[in-house]
Order: sequence, then structure tokens, then C-alpha cells
Amino acid sequence: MAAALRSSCAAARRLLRISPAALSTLTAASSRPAAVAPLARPIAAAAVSGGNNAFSWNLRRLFSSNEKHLPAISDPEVESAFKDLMAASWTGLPDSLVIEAKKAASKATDDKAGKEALLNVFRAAEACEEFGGVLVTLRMALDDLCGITGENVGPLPGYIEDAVKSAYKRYMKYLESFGPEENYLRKKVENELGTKMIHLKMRCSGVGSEWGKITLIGTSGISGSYVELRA
Amino acid sequence: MAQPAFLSALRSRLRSPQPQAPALPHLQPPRRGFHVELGAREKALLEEDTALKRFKSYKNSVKQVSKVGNILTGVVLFACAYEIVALANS
Repeated sequence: MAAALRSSCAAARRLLRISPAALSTLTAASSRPAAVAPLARPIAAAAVSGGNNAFSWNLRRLFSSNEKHLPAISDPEVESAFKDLMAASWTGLPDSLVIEAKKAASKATDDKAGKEALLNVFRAAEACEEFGGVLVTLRMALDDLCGITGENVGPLPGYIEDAVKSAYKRYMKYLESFGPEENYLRKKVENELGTKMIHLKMRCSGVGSEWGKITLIGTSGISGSYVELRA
Repeated sequence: MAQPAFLSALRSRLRSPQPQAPALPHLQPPRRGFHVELGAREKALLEEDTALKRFKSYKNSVKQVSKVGNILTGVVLFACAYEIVALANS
């Protein structure tokens, strides 16, 4: 029953995240005047939530403080390394953090679940550091093409367009591979890599509507909060 | 106007001395030393791709260059200190 509730909450959150992109697509497609847009938004929100009562019920469940946001780790050293990894910026992992994580991961402990959670976070941190470097290199290539003040803005070359599309597919596939019990890690990865995806999105015009999934709120660290649900 | 061309030429010249990766993907060594064994989804994220092949991460190279720069700075400081001590003695 708890798993069903969690999956329904995750599905509702995903639907709420998708609906602004659908609205923007509808507005762009039909070239509707601006006065009609505020009316369309509540209708879509009501349709997505399936009724006011269910929406408020979902909101009440989402704000419950009894839900565990982080896995329970009983070993204090493993927990310290876990929290340090979650708190650090994954653009460049400091050496002291890597040493601490390696020592905690190779320690013989009876807390297998906590150690597995730490290993998952450590793997994600290493992968995000590498893939973040790839995204930064791609962004620098775009900046070199456009010039310092943007005087060379033109059509995108084919190899950069293919690279941007491949980066988007990799990012979305990686985000969707996290299970419902790993939502904390999904949010952290979305915070770290999504910022660099937003940088790519801001430098390209005419991208597909699927890029609406990469929201500013999702990459700002307040994912899943009240502000995002009302957006 | 010439600066982007120069930068792209410099980048291509810097990239060309890299050794060619072997044809078989399972024989390919890891691009950088990861401190932990990567999982299946991380390997799928960092898998070699034809479109992303020319946009590799340079973090490891930057770290190595920074380390070499620190060593050279230490050598220069040591030489200055040695010169000062030699002048004081003579």
C-alpha cells in the first residue's frame, strides 16, 4: 500500500511537471492571444489532478513529514561520508571527500543497506562529475561558435546538434533509471546535471518540446517542494 | 573573428595526439580512474557515443596540468630561497 501511494505521488509529480510544457506547446502551436492563456492553465491543472478533492488529498500526502527522505544508516562513519557526498558540489569532487568516501566504502561494517546507499551515491557522484565535464565542453564549443558577444550566431552545425540530442537522451535515460526509493539521489543528480542542461538549453533556440522537462525549479534544489507543485 | 578559428584549431591540435581507442568497446580501458566500480546506469550514461566523442571531459587533464604547475612553482620558490641563502653566506 505504501509503495502504491509513493508511486501515485511520483506519477502525480511527473504529470504536474510535464503540464507546463504541454501548455507552452499548445500556446505556441495555436498562436493564442495572451488573455486566454491564464484560463487554459487552471483547466489543464484540474484535468491533470482529476478533481479538486484528489488534488488536495495528494498535496496533503506529499507534505507528510513521516515519509523517509533519506535511507536509514546506522554506522556513523558511513552516514558522515554519505551526508558529505550529498552536500558537496559534484562539479569537482574534492580529494578529501573522495578519500573519506573510499575509506567508508571499504570499511567492514554490518550496515549493508547503508553501505549500499553510500556506494550508490559515490557511483552517481563520479559519473555526474565526468558527464558534467562533457556538458561543459559542449557548452564551451557553443560559446566559441557564437563569439564573445554573440555576433556569430547562426545555424547550428550538424555535429553539435547531434551532440546536444545525445546529451539530452543520456540525461533523461539516467534520470528515469532511479527507483522510487532513490528519489533523494534523483533530485541530487537533477540538481547537478540539470543546471548544465539548462545552460545548453539557453544557448539553443528551436529545441524540441521535450526540453520542457528540464525545468529551472527542478534544477534549483527545491524539487518536490510546494513551489514546484504550484508551478 | 579569427579568435574562434584559432581556438578551434588549437583544440583540434591538442586533441589529435590522444591515442586511438580500440575498436572493441569491451576492450576499451576507462577514460579516467574512477574511485569506485560504476553501476549499470552509470556505465550507460558514460558509454562511448559517436556524437559526444569529440566533447570529452577535460577535468583530469586540468588536474594534471595544475599539479605540474604547482611543482614548477615550488621549484622556482626553492631556487629563489637558495639564491637568497647563497647571497647571505657570501
